[in-house]
Amino acid sequence: MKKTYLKAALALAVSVTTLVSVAQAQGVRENYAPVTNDMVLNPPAEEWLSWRRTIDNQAFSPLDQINSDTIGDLELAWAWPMADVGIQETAPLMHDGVLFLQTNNNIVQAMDAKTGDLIWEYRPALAKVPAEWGYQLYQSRRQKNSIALYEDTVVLTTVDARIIVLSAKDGKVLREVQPFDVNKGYSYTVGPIVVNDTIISAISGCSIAGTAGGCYIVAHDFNTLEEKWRFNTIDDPNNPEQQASWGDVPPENRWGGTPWATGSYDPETNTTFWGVGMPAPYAELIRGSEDGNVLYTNSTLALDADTGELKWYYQHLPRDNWDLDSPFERVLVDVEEGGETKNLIVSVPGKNGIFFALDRNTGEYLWSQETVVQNVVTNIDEDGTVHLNEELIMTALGEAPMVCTSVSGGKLWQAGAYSPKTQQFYVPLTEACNTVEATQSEFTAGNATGAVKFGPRVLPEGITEAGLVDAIKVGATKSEGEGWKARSRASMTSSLLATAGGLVIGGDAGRYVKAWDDTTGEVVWQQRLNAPIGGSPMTYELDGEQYLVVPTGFSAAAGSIASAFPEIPIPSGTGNSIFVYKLPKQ
Amino acid sequence: MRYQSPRFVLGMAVAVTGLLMQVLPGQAQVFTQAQAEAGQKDYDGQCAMCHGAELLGPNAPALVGKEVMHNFSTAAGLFDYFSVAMPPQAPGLLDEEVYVNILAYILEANGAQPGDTPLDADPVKLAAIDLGAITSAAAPATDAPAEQAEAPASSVPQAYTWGKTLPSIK
Repeated sequence: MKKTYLKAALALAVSVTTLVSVAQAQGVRENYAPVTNDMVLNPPAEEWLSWRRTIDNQAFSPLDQINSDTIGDLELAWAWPMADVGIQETAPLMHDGVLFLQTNNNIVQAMDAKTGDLIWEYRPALAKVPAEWGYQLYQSRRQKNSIALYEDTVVLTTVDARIIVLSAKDGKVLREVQPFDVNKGYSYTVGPIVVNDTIISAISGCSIAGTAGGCYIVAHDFNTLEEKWRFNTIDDPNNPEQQASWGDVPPENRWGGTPWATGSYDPETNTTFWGVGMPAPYAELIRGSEDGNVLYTNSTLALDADTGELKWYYQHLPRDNWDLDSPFERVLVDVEEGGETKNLIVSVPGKNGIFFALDRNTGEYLWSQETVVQNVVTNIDEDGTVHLNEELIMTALGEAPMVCTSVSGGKLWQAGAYSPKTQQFYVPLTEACNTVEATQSEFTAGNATGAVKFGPRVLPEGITEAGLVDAIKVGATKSEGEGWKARSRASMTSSLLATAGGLVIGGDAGRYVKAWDDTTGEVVWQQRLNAPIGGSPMTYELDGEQYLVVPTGFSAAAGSIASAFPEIPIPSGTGNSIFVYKLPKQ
Repeated sequence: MRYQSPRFVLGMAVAVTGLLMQVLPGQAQVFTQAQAEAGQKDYDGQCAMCHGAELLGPNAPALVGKEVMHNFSTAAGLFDYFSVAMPPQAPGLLDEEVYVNILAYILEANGAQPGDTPLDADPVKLAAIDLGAITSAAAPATDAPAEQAEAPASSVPQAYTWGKTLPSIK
């Protein structure tokens, strides 16, 4: 009898143990504190809640424990291999002690931000597309950035064109919607912003053959996932000027206009700002648009966040013929000048690397400044009219002008950072040129409509260093002689992070993560890691300790310019990882 | 009439198909089977980790397909790019023969037929090889006048200028 009781007790103990371990394996973060709307608009100093930490896209952290004096003491706290291969463009987020990590093919992992233990993992079953749809499949291996955190959820946009809302506690799907047709070529490659109970996202894949005529910024109700509005970047029936800018080309023969960087939001005016990419086909010879400006490609759009109504637009590169698209991060900055506050939107919006400052309430052009060598824009008038070097516009098949920057930039998806401390915008860039030649191509399902042949990337004449970090002083007017330039032989491959510790942090194709002094550009710390530095470095604080997260991994941009620095071979392995540093405990 | 075995009929069919393949227009033979076979080995060692074993990516762009062949236009277009820029771990640093063999393999993977003429790196010869013509990619109807031309049937929309004769300096 006693024996039986003992057996039963033992069995019970075993099954309880099993239950506990199953619960742990499923991964649940109990007592997760919701991300409120107020927190999205004004995040706690120790957290990183959005793609660029704040919804103004500044990528500035107020943390200063890691600074010029202490950074030399950094130690590795933990590291982690990413869940999939492909181009490393991850943008980790941190809230309430949980590090959220998204990688290619929309795998999301929740990690204990202090210990590096996995809490839960979500792997979506993605729609299958034919193997021949090479360009479309490529999209799933180059996820640009980020998920969004809102209330107790993670909002995920997917390469099969869905929006999925996950529980932040356990990674379970709460609800989802399919706004666009993956079989036409649509895919999400950038994350959304979520504010005021509204998910605002932008679809990609608009240069794939089946998506002709429509490329969209779209808003959904966060709770019901009902669509609130959508704005078509290449077909605006409310604007005759937009229609005329494509010449005789009807919407069904228009492509491009992809807004492939996450937008920003201004609560004062309830406006969301998005950058729009290039037109396709890339060359007007093939596009058929003659000398039209092909709106709203390569523009900044200011949209009413409640209605999607266009408040203003500004076109940074009209009449693009070279795939120099201009969708990159739009950063909202307020500066004090002459006793009043100026509300600016600043950006290096396009691959040609030109910095722009606009009045974000009106869209008025204020000033611009070149960074890397470019030969496409000859000058910009005081009213913001952009003039092109028309000698570079192909008028016949077989012409192959040398165009700077290259199709890989100049500027690319790697985002810049703005420091309110120095009032400077820091931007990662690459010096490169390539030949561009228009071709007549028959478009096929799942493939691109660029119809251009690019030559190999080469350094501009007289330049021997491919990498450049440019620090640009921001104001309502241009400041001459301020800022700094830090050059490196290898090209830049990561976004930048600016901190109150006086640091700018990022890295290059040569596998160096570096910290530059934010006022001088001097390198104050560097380490060589396993692969090109990638994605978006970020920082957070837990239990009084500041952490620094550095993603590394496969870089297509580095591969395309590798011949400019052949003595620094790019690894043939992918190596996608994150490295998490902190200072030693006192 | 004598009865023919199924094996004989099959054999005849294969022979006729083979003959047809040899006389199909637009399939000039610009590389040898040996080059394509050597190229496959080099491709697997130097390129497949990004461009995929089937040349369809996805970690780097696909190297097969109509769009790819049309965009690079000629063998020189493709060769001039990848013999300078690729592979990232040794850009432009492989032997010329290796690049030529990899080109032969890419052409074969796109439907081009091997023959007796070996491929070499002569830029003039490479520029004369029309990728659309020698692979399975269909060429655009550039001979017809713009107003009368009809674009080939396709399941996806085409460029506004597709099927039209465009100015050319080629």
